Amino acid sequence: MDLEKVNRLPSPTWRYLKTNDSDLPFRNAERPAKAVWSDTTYMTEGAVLPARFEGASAAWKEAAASGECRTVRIPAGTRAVLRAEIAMDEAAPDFAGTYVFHVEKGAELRLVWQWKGGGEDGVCAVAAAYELEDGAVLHVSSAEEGLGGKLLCMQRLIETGEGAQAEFVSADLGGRTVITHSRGYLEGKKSTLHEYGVYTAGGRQHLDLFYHIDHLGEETDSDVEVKGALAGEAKKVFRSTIDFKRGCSGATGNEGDYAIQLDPKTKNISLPLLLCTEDNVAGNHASSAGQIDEQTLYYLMSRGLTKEEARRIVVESLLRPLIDRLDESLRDGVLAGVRSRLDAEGGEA
Amino acid sequence: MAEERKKSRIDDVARSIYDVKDAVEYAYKTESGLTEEIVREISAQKEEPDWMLEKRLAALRLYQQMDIAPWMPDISELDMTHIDTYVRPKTDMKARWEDLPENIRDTFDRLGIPEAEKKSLAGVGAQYDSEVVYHNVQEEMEKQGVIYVDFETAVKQYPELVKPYFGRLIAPNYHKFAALHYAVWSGGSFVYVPKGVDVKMPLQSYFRLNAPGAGQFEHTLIIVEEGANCHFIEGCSAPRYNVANLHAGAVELFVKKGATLRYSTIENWSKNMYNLNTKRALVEEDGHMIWVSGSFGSHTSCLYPDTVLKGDRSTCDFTGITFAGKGQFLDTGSKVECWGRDTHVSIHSKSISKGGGAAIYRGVVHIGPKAAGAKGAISCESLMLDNESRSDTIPDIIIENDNIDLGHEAKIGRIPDEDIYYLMSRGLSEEEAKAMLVRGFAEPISKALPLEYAVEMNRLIDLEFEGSIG
Repeated sequence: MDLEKVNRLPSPTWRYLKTNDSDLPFRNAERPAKAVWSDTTYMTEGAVLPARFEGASAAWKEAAASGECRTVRIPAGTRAVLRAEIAMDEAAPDFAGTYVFHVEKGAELRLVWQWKGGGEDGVCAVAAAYELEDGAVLHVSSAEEGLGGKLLCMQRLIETGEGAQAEFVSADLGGRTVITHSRGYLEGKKSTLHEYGVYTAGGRQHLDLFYHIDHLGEETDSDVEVKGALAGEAKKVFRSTIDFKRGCSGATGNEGDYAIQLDPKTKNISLPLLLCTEDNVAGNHASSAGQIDEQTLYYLMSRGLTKEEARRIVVESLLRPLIDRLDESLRDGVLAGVRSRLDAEGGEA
Repeated sequence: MAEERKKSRIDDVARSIYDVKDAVEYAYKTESGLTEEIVREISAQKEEPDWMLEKRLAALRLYQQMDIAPWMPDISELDMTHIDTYVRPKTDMKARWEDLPENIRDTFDRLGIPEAEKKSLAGVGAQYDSEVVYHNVQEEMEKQGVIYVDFETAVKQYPELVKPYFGRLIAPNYHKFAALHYAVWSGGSFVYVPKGVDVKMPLQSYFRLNAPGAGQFEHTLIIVEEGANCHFIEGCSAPRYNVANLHAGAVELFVKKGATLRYSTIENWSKNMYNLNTKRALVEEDGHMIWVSGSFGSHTSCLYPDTVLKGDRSTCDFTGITFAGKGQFLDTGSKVECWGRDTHVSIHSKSISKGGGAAIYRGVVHIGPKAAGAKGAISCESLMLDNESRSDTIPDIIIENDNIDLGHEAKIGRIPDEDIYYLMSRGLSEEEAKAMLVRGFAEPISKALPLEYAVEMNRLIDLEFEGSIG
């Protein structure tokens, strides 16, 4: 499989560290599955991504364009719920799709992506633009299940009008290589963008997570929070940038990256960037990495739990607040996925 | 109509003492530029052995092959064809200040170096342009076996100590300007602290660059043997010219088993200076490396002291402050590589940017696969004093081990209004409140310095406040 450079850091650092971008496998979706949409009322054929949509790389953007292309326009003042189920199997192990979701003034869209596995070597390439007009509200939940050895690349771009609110919650439990690329432009005054991600990765999984949010409008607010557990020889790269542009007076932005490392051969890379050319802002970053605290384990075991059970509870307690932000229809499945993952590897994700 | 907010005004670093220019006099100077002939000429002037010339020429070839790192600030105005790489002052090295030519002596007097030597230093080295012009160490130190000499004397008198360490930590291929350093290095200091010796008073080297368009490429090598303890202070300044000056020194520090080295820097280069300095420390078992770094001057700085925690239970403590005013682009930070078991890292970085200045924190903490038990805390705080300026935080954290405990936090913002209001409600004027908050912001750094240098730093940051919050 070819290698492709993805998720280039917007403000690069030392080259010898090899963390400015990632060289990861790439191929096109050759036998794509079909997405099943719960409602096509607001959907039309074709999709034109905004000119500034870059994606994880040009090749991945193109790969996504080779599949179905749809535009969803939620009319002003309307509340809509949409659900997309993508089930891949041996016959159709891949998926590709490009989408534009346009949420008009004061409208609300609740969107659920559900990915189901089958076919070890599949590829999944998605590019989605979310355009929110003034006062629009968007909530997107995404969860994967049983994606095994697949190569996933989820790319998105978010643009917000005045007072618009966008929230993305995703659970990455499967896939051999998972690429997330999220680019946000907080343009409208008082608009918000919140990004939440949970993951459990084991074996030789690679998670490459990229978030980049520009604060352009006054009093805009962003939050990026990613929590997860790494086991086996899993590797996670977190590249997050909050960029306070001149003029975004009163903006606030927070980044958080919290990882529990359960095995000696795990690799955890974190690049949380804060860029700033406006003085009246508050930007914060916090991260932590390490093992489960031995004293916590000891305490739980003294209450009659086995070590594996105690570890599972600690990992769950880290992830649960974010899992609870997912659409209700996905929560139980994700929680079960986390538990089975921890159980399958003897409490080691 | 909302009342217009008047912003705090905080002055640039006061530079009057540093900007006094001496008449440009020299005993010898190379042609401007960087060629093989010039490198050979420097080596011949210094009457070096062939092996050193070969090392210089190899470094020059490397410099010519290597590119400028793409992440670096714009240094396109730094034209090496206009830099004088070697300027020998009109004096040889003295052990008494009164033996120096009057203009050079006056310069160091103004900077307060002889006075500081009398009061609180165990030894002083002073470099003027490309050569060390003064070096002295207390007799007591010499009796204990402490060696503190200029680097070129060390090469001649202590080759058995210098040769195994020179270029070992910072190889010429470390980056382009490390290669440049090895091609044209001149001057610098050598410190050797024998096993178990506690150097109770600091040693200080001061680097003064007077010649316009010149470069300074000093090499500093410090070896602190097992169980020994030393505090080294590095100061640097230059008057301002309207042509680019360049500083590309190299500092190699070896901290042996159970030893402690504190390396303090107050850097106040002029605003035409490109400060592309390189510092690296290797710390062995139970050793402690402490960096205290204040970056106030220069047009452009790229400075990231690098610590390799090779030994088990070795530690690194970095405390740094960067103040970027108008026209300055200060890209500074810290690198730590954990190789040994149970190492400990503490990084505490602060920056202030104003008047269009850019203060960038760039750092890396790399915990290797064998560094089980590593613990670390990284904190970066940036204060923006207006919206013409820039402040970026670019940390890189690489963890290849599960048995670690690492926390990182970063904050960017301005002086919070509510803090000012709170202090004003306790009876302080607005000016007093702001002054207190900004000094409080810088306090962790001044506390880490010896008293007289903390006073020096406070003098450097001349803070003035006025206005009101609307």
